Amino acid sequence: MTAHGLLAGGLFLTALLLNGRGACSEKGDHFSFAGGLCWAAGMIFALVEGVGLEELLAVLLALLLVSAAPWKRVGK
Amino acid sequence: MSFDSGAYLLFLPAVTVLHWICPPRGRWIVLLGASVLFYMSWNVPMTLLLGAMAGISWLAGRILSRAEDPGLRRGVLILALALCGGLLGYFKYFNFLAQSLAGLLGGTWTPWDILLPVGGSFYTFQALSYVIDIYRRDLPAEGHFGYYALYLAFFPQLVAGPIERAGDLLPQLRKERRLSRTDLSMGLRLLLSGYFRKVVIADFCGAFVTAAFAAAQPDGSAVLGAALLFALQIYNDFAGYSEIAAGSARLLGVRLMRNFDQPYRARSIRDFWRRWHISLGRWLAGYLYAPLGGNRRGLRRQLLATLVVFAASGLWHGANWTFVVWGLLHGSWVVLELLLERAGVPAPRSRSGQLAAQSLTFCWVCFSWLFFRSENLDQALFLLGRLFAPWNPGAGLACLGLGGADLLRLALLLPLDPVLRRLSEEREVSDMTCVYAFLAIAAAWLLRLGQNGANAFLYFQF
Repeated sequence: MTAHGLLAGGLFLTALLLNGRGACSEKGDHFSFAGGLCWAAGMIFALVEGVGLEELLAVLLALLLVSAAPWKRVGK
Repeated sequence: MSFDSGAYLLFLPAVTVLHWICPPRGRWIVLLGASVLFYMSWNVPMTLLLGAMAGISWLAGRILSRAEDPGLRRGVLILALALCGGLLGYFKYFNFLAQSLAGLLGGTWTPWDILLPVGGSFYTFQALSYVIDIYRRDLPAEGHFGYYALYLAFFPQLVAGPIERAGDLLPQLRKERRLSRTDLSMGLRLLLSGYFRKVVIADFCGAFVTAAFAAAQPDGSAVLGAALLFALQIYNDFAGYSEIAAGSARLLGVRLMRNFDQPYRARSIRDFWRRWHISLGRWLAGYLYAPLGGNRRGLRRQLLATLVVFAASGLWHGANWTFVVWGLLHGSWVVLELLLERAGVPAPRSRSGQLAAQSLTFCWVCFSWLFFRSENLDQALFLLGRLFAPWNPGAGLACLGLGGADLLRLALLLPLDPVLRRLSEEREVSDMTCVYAFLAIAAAWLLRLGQNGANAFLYFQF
């Protein structure tokens, strides 16, 4: 794996952590937004690396799951 | 024009804008025109059938609301039911009945070239419920044919429901609606959830199900896998459609009923039908089960009514004995539940008991899905036989075409149902959730384009 791939992986992982943090706290919008930025940056490196659409979809699904924090009771 | 086609993604915003810029008194014309265009995109001649259904039921309603003589009222009701039901019966069941009869008599039947009207089962049931409600004096007749035609042809729910009662939908179509931020927001969220279910989940599972059902000698584990994946596919396909329908209607200020409520959490088959295709269950309960006696004429009558209703439900889904068997499998389980209840066997109260009940119900539902999905009874019985043959999980996965990446995707998709529910209900959800859901839909859509193209919504065939 090249540097681009490692960077993409690191950014995606950071995005997951930040989105999870954002979903768990009351004022987590900044964390979620930062997570989104990390994801976007990771996407660029992933595309340069030549990562396929299926892998990118898997990352998106993981982010969706984490961002919604289904383990936490939220809302009315 | 399917909901997941590019044309619909242009059609819906255009109709929404036109609808809201039009003066309130003329909005029904915009919606009716759009609905007719929507239906014509499927089949132009069948639009005449829809028009005929609207005309017959509306006229019957007008006569029933004015007539006082019981004999005349009953005669008009029977005539309207016969005409509307007969039209659907001819287009949907004529070849099936003729083939079955020919088979019984040892002959053969060359099917006539009869086109199946898209959504016929749905709008026919709406027309029938309208006439019956007026006959029962539960509803006043709609004097304006345009509004009534719109009730029947309203494009979000025209081809695959929910089956709305006139008493719920007509007042909404008639009233002067105002564009609200809540309606806009909820409409978009429902669309997001619906498309996610269809494009990301249902179509993904469908490919593996198709592979297993097409295999010449599928392994038993592949049959089990196909049943489970089909359970996932059909739920997300139909629930996804219903949410897209609800979202489309909500953008126009109209609220359609919820059609699904976590059906696989049901603890009994009766509970399942209070959560699955709720509009159909409600229709059958009110217009078939109750007139047959329901639970008011003794146990024997109740059990018979139950079996008749479930057989009818199966047949409603399609002109094939597999659907009838599917319906009767559900019906026979409900009969068992009723008998156990009568015998004094209590429903499980402990957590483990409820989990066991949930698991048993889910197993029975998946088992019966094998019949629902099969092309004919021979295939269904063949697959059942394969289920009890020796298993080879490796061969099963190969038969399904499931690789490591696919299993990972499945593992990520399974826990997403609560997320999608939160998205489709008026509960707080973060902006990033919506963004990721949208991007996932786009990615899955692109993947789908590159692979095998679009899969039609399963319930469009009914």
